[in-house]
Amino acid sequence: MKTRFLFAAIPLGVVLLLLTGCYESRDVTLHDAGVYKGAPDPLVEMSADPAYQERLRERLLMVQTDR
Amino acid sequence: MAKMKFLCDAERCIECNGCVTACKNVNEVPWGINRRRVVTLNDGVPGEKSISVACMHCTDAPCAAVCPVDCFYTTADGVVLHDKDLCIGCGYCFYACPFGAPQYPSPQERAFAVRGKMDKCTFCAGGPEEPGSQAEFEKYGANRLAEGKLPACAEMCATKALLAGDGDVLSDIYRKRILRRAGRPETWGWEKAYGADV
Amino acid sequence: MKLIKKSDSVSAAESPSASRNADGKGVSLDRRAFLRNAGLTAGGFALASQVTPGLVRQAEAEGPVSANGEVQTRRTVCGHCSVGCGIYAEVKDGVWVGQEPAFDHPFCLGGHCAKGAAVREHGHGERRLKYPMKMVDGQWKRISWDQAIDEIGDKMLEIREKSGPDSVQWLGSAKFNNEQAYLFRKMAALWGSNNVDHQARICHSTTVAGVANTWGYGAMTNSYNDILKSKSILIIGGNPAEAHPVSMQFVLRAKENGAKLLVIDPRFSRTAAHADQFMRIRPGSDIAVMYGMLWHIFENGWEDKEFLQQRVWGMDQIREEMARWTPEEVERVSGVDRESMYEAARLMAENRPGTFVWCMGGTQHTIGNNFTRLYSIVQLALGNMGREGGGTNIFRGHDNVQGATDFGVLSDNLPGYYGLSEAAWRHWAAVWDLDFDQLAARFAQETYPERGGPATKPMFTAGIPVSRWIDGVLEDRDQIVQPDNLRAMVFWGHAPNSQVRGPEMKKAFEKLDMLVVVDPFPTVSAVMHDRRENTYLLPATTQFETYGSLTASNRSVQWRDKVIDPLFDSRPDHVIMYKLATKLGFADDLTKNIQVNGDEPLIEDIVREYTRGMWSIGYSGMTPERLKTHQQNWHTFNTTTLRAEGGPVHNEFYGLPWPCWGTPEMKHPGTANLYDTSLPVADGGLNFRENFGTERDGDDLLAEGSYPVGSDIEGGHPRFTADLLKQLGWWDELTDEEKELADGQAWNYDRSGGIIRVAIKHGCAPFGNAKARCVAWNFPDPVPIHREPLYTSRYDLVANYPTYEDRRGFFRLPTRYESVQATDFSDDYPLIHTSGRLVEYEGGGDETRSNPWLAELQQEMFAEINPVDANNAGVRDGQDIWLESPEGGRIRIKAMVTQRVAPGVVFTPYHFGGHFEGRDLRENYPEGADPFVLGEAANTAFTYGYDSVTAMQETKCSLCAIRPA
Repeated sequence: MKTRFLFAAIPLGVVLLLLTGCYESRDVTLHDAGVYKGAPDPLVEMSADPAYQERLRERLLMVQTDR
Repeated sequence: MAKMKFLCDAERCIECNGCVTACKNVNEVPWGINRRRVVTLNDGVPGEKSISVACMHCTDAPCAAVCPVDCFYTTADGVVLHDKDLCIGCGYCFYACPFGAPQYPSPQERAFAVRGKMDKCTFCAGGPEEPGSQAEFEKYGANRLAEGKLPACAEMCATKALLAGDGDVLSDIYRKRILRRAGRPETWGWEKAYGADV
Repeated sequence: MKLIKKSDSVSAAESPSASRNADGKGVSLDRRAFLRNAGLTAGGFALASQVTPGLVRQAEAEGPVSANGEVQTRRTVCGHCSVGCGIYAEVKDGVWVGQEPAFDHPFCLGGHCAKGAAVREHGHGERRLKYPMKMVDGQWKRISWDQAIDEIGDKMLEIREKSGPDSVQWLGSAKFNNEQAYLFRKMAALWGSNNVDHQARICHSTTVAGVANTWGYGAMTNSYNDILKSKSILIIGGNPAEAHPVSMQFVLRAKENGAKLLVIDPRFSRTAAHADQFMRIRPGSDIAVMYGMLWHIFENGWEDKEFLQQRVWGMDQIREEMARWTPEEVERVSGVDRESMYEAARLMAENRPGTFVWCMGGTQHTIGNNFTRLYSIVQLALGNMGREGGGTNIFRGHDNVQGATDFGVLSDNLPGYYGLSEAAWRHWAAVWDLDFDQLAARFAQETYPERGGPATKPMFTAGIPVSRWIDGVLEDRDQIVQPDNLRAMVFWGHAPNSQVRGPEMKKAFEKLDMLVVVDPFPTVSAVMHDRRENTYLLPATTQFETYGSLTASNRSVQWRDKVIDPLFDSRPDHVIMYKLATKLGFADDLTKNIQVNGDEPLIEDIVREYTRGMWSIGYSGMTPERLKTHQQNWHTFNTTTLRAEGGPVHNEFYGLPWPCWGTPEMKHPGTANLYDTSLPVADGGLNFRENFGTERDGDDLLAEGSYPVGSDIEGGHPRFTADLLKQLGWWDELTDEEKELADGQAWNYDRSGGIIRVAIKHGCAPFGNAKARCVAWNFPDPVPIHREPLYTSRYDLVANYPTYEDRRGFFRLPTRYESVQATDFSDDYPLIHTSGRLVEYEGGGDETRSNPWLAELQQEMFAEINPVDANNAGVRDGQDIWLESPEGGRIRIKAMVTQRVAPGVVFTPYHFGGHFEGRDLRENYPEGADPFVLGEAANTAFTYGYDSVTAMQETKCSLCAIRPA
C-alpha cells in the first residue's frame, strides 16, 4: 500500500517539478527599443511647467535685448 | 509648448571663442573635452564664416535612435540629455550625430568623474540627478535651466551671435535681424536639426 | 562643484605638467599630466578642481543664488582689454564660485570674448607666483616679504648712491587700477627720476601724441556704443574681432542698421571677414593710402567745406603734400589700385557720419605719429569729428591703459598730461602738499649737453622709455643723457616679450645689477636670461583681489569691487608700493594726504587726492561716491548714448567719461563724445582745444563761427586764464577763496576749479575754442609724410621716401634711423614680418597662457605664411620652421600656410613666451608657476626702429627669412 502510494507520488512530484520548470513569469522585461532606460530626471517634469517655460522665455528676452 | 533650440547667426559670429570658455567656466569642462567649439569655414579667404557648434538638441535626435542602451531622453521643452550611468561609451551616437557633438574622454581619464562615458552639451540642463545637486554637477555640469537661466555660451556671446532658448522667440529675434539686413539667412544647421519647415 | 580656493601653501613637489610629446612635435599639453598635477595641493587641503569635483556648489536646488544670503554678488570689470565689460562675480565663503553675465552693463550687455568668459579662473589658478622669491646661485628660493623689501631697497639705495636715481628704471603697468597708476607715478617722482614708463609707450603713444597735437586730447573721441550711430566704419590697422571682440557687437549691429564696414589691413583678418570692403595694403604704407583717400575726397568735392572753414587749420599744406599722391603713386607704394581707393573714399563720403577706428597696426611704426595725424586729418576733411557716430574711435589695448596713460605712468609726463615743465612739477608738488625744492633735490642735477642732451635738468627732461630700456642698459655710458646706465630694472606688471630685439634684451637682463619683477605671474622676465643672483620676484594680486577704478577706452571711469582676498602670499600693488616707499624713506610724503590702514593706502583717499590735481583732462569731477553710484546703477544707462535715463544719476554719462569738468560740486555729467558742439559744455559738449597758440603764419587759429550750444562767446577764444576772465569782466564771478588760488593762473593750474566753473557757466570750454591743426610744426614731420621702414622690402622706395637722420639724446639715448636703413637687407630677408593678437591671449600672455580654459584653445606659437612664400621656402603647413631676423634674432615655430596674409608677408602673434631661440625655458620658472603654454616670443625676431616723436617700437614692419627647421 505504502509502496503503491510512493509509486504514484514520485511521478506526480516529477511532473509537478517539470511543470514548475515550465512556469512563465508575468514580470518579464520587454526591450522597447528607443525608450529611455536610465534614471528619472526631475527636470523632465519641471520643464513641462508653463511657469518654468515662461521664466526661461523672459530670460531669453533679457539676454537678447539690445536695450 | 516651448522648444529649446540653439541658433548661431553666422553673420555675427566672430570666432572669439567666448562661448567655448563660458562653457568651460560654468560646467568646469576639463582640458581635452570641448562641448562647444567654433568652426571656421573658408579660413583666411573672402567668404570666411565662423559657426559655434555644440549638441543642437535635435527634435528627433539621431543619437537617441542609435543608442544600444537607450540612455537618451528629452525634456518637455526639447533638451536632449543622457544618463552617464547607463552609457557604455560605444560611440554610436558620435557616428549618428550630424554635428559631431558627442565627446569621449579616453578610458583612463575621467571627465566629470565618469570613465570613458560620452559627454556632450547639456543645454546647461545637467542630467538625471537632483537639479542643482553636487552629484549632478560632478557628472554633467551646471543646471542653469533649473535656476531659470539659459546656457552660458549664448548668454555670454560677445556679439549675441549665438542664441539659445525657446525656438519661437529665437525665430522672432532672428527674423528681425534679417529684415534689417535684407540678406540671405545664416541659420546654420537649423534644417538639419529641426526639420525643413523651421 | 565650482572651483574652490586651494590652500595658500602649495606643495614643493608640484611639477610642471606640460610635457614634450614623444614624437618630438614640440610642447603640447598632455592631458593626463595636466589632470595629475593641476589640482593637487599639499597638506591635506582641498583636493580640488579638475580632479575631484564636488565640494562647493552654489545653489543646492534652491533656485537663484543669494537666496540664502551665502552667495554674494560683486560687480567687477574684466581685466583684459579696454572695452571694460562688466561682470557679476558670485562669491561664497571667500571663494569665487560663479560668474554671471551682466546684461545690464552698458558696454557689454552681458557679452564676453574667450578671455572675459574665463576670468573666474583667476580666483583659482595655481599657475601663479605665490611667494616672494629670490634667485640664489641660479635657483629660486622662497623668502619673506620683509627680507625681499629690505634687500631690494638696500640695493636700490646703493645704486642711487653710486650712480644716481636715474639708474633705476620703474616700469609700471596698464594693469594697475587708476589709483595704483597714480601712486606709482608719484612714487617714481619721489624717488627722483623720470625713468618710469608703461605699456602705453609701445601700444598707443603715437596716437596720444599725434591726436593731442591735432585737436587737443589724445584719446578715443567717442565710444564703442556710439558706433551704433555710425553710417560707415573704417577700421585700419586693427582687428577688433580678436583684440576687442565685444566692440564688434556694436560694429555688427551698426552694419545691420545699414552702416558700411571698410577694413584696411595687410591681413585678411577675422574683422575683415565681416567687411563690406576689404582693402589689402602693404604694411607701413598707411600714409600713401590715406593721401590716396584724401585725393579722391578733394577730387570729387566730398570734403566738408563748412567744417574745414570753421574748425580746421592747415589743410592747404596737406593738399600740397597730397598732390604727389596720385592714384598711380598710391598704387606703387601701397599696392592699392585706383578703383579700390576710389570706392573706399566714396564709401566714407556717401555714408556720413562715419567713424574711424585704428589700433596698433597704425601706431607701431617709426612714423607712427604721422599715421595717427593723417588718420585724424581724413576725419577732419570728411567733417566727421565732434559728431555722434563719427570721431576717431581709437581702441586702446589693456583694460586700464587709458587710465595709466592719463595718470602719467610715462617717462615724459606727469598725471593729467601736464608734461615735465617746472610749472607742472610745481602744480603737482602743491597737490601733494610737498615743497617743490625738496622734491627737486631728489633728482639728479647734472646736465649733459655734450651727450646730445638739453640744457635742462633731468627732472624736466623725458626719461628712458620702456621701448628703449635695453639701450639704457647696454649703450655706451658716454652716449646716455644721464649720469650712468640703467643698473636696476623694476618690471611691475610688464611683460618683456612685448618688446623687440630678444637677443639684445637677454644681454641687457644679464648685465643688470638687480632685476625686480612685481607681478601675479613670474613672466618671461623671470626666465629668459641666465642670471644667478640679485633677481627678485614679488607676487602682486590681480585686480580681482583688490578694488578701485579703471578707465575704459572711451574715457569712462568704472569702479570695481574686490571679488576675493589676495591669493597665496600676494599683495595688491599699492600695498607693495607703500612697503617699498617705506623702505626707501619717502612713504610719509607718498601718503601725506592718504589714510594708510596697516600697509594699505586707502584707495578712496587716492581718488580724492588726484581729483584735486587732474583739472587738465577733467578727472576732477569724480569722487569715489559718484563712481560707486554709477557702478551700482549700470541698468539705468542708455546703451547707445551712455546717458542715464532716470535713477540716481539721471542725465549723467556712464562712468563720467573725462573731461568731467571742475569740482565734484559742479556735477558735470562727463563728456561722451569729444568736441561735439551740439551740446552745451555743461552737458558734455565741447569744441577743439586751443593748445597751440592763437595765431600761426599770420593765420588765426581760433575757431570761426563754431561754438558749443549756449556759449556766451559765439566763436573762437583762447584758453581761459585769470587775465582773460578779467578782460571779459567775469572775474568777480569767482568767490574770494577761488580768487586766491586762481589769480595769475591758467584754467588747468587753478587748483580752486573756479576758472573752469565760470567758463562753463558761460557755456565756454575752459581750454579755449580753436581750430584743429593739420600741421604739427613742433614735430619732425610737420605735415605727415611717408618714410620707408628701417627694414624695408621695397628698397627701391628708399630714395624717394628715406627715413630720418640719426639722432642723439632722444629720450636720453642715441637713436638710429638712416644708419640702419643704409643697408638693403631685402635680398637675404625677403619677407615682411608683422605681428598682432589672438583672441585667447593678451599682451605678453603670461596671465592668459596660465589659464587652462584659454591655453587649451591655442597651444602652439605659429607664423602665418602665404602658400607662395611657403612653397618657395620649402615649408609645409604645420611644419616647424626657423624665422630669422636681419639682426640675428631667430625663433623656432610652426608654419601655418594661409592666404590670410599676402605673398611676401609673414604674420606672428606676440603673446607667446618661455621659449628662446629654440630653447624651452620651462625649467627656469619657479616650481608650479610656469604657464600651461609656452612658445617663442615673436618679438625675439623683431628689430630696431623707434617712432620719431614717442620712441614707439616698430613691430608692424620688419623683415625676416623662413626656412624649415
